[in-house]
This record gives sequence, C-alpha cells and structure tokens, in this order.
Amino acid sequence: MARLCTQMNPLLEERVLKRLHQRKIFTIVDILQENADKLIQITKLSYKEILQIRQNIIANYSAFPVKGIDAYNEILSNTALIPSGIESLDAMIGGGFLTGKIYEVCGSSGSGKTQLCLTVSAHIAHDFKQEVHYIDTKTDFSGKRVQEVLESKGYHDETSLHHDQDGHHSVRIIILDSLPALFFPFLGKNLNDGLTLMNQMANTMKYIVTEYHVTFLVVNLAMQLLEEENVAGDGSNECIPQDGNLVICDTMKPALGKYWLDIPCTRLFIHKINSTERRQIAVMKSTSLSTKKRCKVLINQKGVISALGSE
Amino acid sequence: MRFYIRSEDKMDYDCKAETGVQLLARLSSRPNLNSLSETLFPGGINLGNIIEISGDSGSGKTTLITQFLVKCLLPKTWNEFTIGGLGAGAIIVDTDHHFQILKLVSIMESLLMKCRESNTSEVQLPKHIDSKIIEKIIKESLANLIVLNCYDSVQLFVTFHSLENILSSNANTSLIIIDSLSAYYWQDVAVRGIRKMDLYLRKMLKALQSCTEEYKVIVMYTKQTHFQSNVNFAEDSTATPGPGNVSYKIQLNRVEGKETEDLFLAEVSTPVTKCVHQYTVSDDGLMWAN
Repeated sequence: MARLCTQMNPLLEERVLKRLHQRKIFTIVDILQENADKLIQITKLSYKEILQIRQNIIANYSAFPVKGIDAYNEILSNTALIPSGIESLDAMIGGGFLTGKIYEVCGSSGSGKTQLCLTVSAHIAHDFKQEVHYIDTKTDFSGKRVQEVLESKGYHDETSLHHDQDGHHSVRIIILDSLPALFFPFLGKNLNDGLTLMNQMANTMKYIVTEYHVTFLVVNLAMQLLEEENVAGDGSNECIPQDGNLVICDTMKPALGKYWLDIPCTRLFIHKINSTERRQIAVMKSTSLSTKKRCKVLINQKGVISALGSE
Repeated sequence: MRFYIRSEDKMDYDCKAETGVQLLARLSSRPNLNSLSETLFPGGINLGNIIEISGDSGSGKTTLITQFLVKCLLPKTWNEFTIGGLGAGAIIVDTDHHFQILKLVSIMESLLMKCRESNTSEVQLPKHIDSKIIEKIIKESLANLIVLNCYDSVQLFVTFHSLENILSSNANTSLIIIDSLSAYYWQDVAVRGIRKMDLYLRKMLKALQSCTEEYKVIVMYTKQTHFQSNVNFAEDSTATPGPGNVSYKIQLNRVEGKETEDLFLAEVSTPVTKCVHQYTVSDDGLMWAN
C-alpha cells in the first residue's frame, strides 16, 4: 500500500522508479524523508515536479485536517445512543452504547457474555430496527436462542424481523464474540506476531467506529491471576460478596495482554453471584464512566434481564 | 586592483518557493503558552518545548490534554468578560481515539458559565455570560482547532509531513498534541524492526520535529507508562535541554488502595526539578488538590 508506483503520480514513470529503487527509496515514507535536492539528483526531475509529487502524496495519504467546529458538528449529528434493552445495564452505562466507541465485555467462561450479546442483538434488531452484524468466532451463536428471547418478549411474527426495503436500516452495532479465540494461536511462542495483528485489527476497528459512527461490542475472557505463580486459572470460583461490594475485579485480569487494555473505551466485567442465575456487571475501566458502578442482571429463558439491587 | 573570488565565496542559494503569507507565518511569533497550567508548569513553558505525558490507561492523559486544549483555545477576554484562555490555535493528531470533542465543548461551557464581568462596580452585581454568547465563543474557539484522525503508521508519518502546510497557513497555532505517539509500535516493529521502545519514541519524535522545526511551537505527546526502557530522566540523553529534547515529563499514576474516591498523583519532572501534585478526575477535567 505504501510502495511507490506510477498510478500514484504520472511523474513516477518506470525509469524514475528504477532510479529511486537503486537508492533504496521504495515507499512513500522513504521519498518524503529525503530532501528535495537529493531527489532532484536521483530522479533527474525538476524541483517543481518533485514538489508536485510530494504535495500529491501528502494530500492523498495524510489524515484529513478537520476544523474543530466541523468535527463537533459531525459528531453531534451522527452519534447515536443504542440501548441494550436491559434496563439496569442501560442505567449504569448512561442510557446505552454510544456510537464511535469500542466496548468490551469480559468475564470467565460461563459468566454470560454470549448470552448478553445474543440478548442485545435480539433487542436491537427487533425493537430498534437496526442491523446488527454478529461476528461469531466460536460457533456459539444460536438462532434458536435468539428466537427464544424474542418469543419471550411476545414477538412471534417472523416477518417483523425482515425490514422493509425502503427503510434506512444502516448497521449501527457490530458484535464480536469472541476475541481471544482469534488471537490465542498467535500469542505465545512468537509474541510479536500476535501483537502486530492485534495492532492492525485495533486500527481497523477504530477506523470503522470513528468514520462510520457505529459501535463495536467485543467479548473477551477474564482470567484469574494466582498470586504465587501468575498462572491463568479458570476463574470459575464463585464470587463471595464482601460488605455488599464485590471486589473480585481486582484479581481478575482481561486476557490479551497490556496492549489491548487501552483499546476499548469502556470495559464491562460480568461474573456470577452465588452460582444462581444472577450476574453482576461492573465497569472495570472507562474513559467516561466511574469505575465504581455496578448493576445486577438475571440470565434465564428470556435472555439477560434486569434485576433489582438487593440479593 | 585585482579582486580574487575564492570558491568559498560563491555561495549556493537554495531556492525555496514561499509565499509572503508563509514567510510571515514562519517568522512571526506565535502566541505564547506560558500560563498553560500554573499548577504543573509554575515557571511557564516556552515555544519549542517538548512535553511528554505518560500514564496507564484510565489515569487521565486524554482528559489532561483536553484541559490544555480548553485553556489554549479559549480567548483571553471577550468584550468586558475575562475568560482566562490563551487565544491560541492548536492541532491534535489523534491515534488512540479516546479524545472526545463533546467533552472538550462541555468543559468549555462549564468554564464560561463561571466567568464574570471583569470591571464590576460596587453597586452592580457582576453579570454572567448568557448562553448565546457562550455558543459564539465556543464556535470561534473551535475554529482554531484542527483535528487529524490517524488510523495507521504510514498515515501518521505522512501526516507529520502535512503539518508544515497546516502551520504555515495558521499563524496563531502554538500547540501540537499527539495522542498517543506509541499507538502503532507493534505494527512498526514488524515492518521497521526497531525493538527498543525508547528508541522507537525518539525516532517518532525526530520524524515529527524534522517537519516542524522551522516553526516554533510546543509539542505535547502521550504514551503508556509501560512503554519505556528503564532509564532515569537524568541519565536519559534526550533530557538535556536543547533542540529536540523533552523539556518536561509528566507521569500520571493512580494511588492504590483508595476505596471511596479515585485518587491520582501527577509527577512533573524536568532535568533539574521534580514536583508531585495530587488530583481527582471529575466531569470538568482533572481537579488539583492544592
């Protein structure tokens, strides 16, 4: 993508490119780093032509400078709040998921992450009439379960899920269940391969959410750090409430390492309470919410539903 | 009389095309940002300084730079009201995408609502600015901000080169913020092969400076705390004052063990001094304890 070629600029003809290659100038970054005099010597083009090539590359490959006021207006008119449909969760995260942001749900196996994603998808697709793109990496997606959730809400009519052709049904949320399944094969022997891929994936995700004003909801694993050995345990221990305020967040770490920690804007941690159908969702990290927030939900046949405060 | 012209006397003149506007923009002085933060920089900061802000995720780096932007962009006064801003332009190169312009505007709004008329007589009650004027002031302040959203390493390098054009057409821009400088490290390691994180940052900083050194501006960048080799500031060769070196390092840390409120510490170091300030994070930005 960054390699110099004639399509970029008609002045970069074959012979010019050959001369540049001889001096080890292959990519657009290489050519920008050289000063104009050297380039004139190498390519035998005129100063004006070199300047034109430079300006052309900068115009096409640089980030587009947006005036503050235009950026503000664009965000104001395109940002949407997407409610998850689970009242206690929505109340905790300020009404719903904001577009232009990446959210992460992490928890140990069986804590209810996939159930949460399925419930949210069903709600958005039906109540909100917006398209949901569900990316399933573990073959956990179950159409039957989504149907169950919808039926419990009283929607039996299949056709209500087929949106009309004329409607403006753009994608507003993309759910990725789950991320570790994609990266675990790479993290390990050669750590860097996995991190390079993760960097590129994070870049693409950020591009999608910012430029297209959608939300990304990503599922991650949380692992228990055992003090002595730092071995990633299963974390399936039940959480015993201490003073009514669960402090389990402090001993559980999200998978995927340090680099990934800073990528999502908000990280929600879901875990079991007393091995019943009850779960607690806590804000583990957020750029805009307090990390002391908690809410309770139930998982049953109806999907994930709101639960009241008391046990 | 014979005149001997020695070859050294024949100077080569580099012809660089520059318009009159560009010349003025390059040579004229940009607004100074001396009083950007009396808490963190009591001695003031000078054009040409480089400031590094490091902290873990959630420690407040992006909130801090948002506060700096508010102070930088707002005007000094407006009619009879003292606003207390610096009236300068700024550029933000956003690679992390945690910066929220809505938050910038809300901090501006809450600051403006607290402003009062500067010359108040004893009899009259000081007036507050009404919302229409607040809107106008914010619009004018935002006109001096340029946002560059970057999504990968090559784009970041090319964007550095585009800063020259932006600075030459905006003579009152004094601040360039990069949030953050380490965002594409893993992508670059695979391609360019610089492994040591310190060297990587230095390389990025150099690339940025080669594009902006003709213009005297303040460069501020953020990075993750863990993104460094173990070097003391005093031993760090980039610490000696001079062109291309970091003048201030701000380290943001969370204080462990507090149950009720999230407390943080900001450690500001220069090659010769070190100062620690306590703060909390609120909707209006970082609140300093002292």
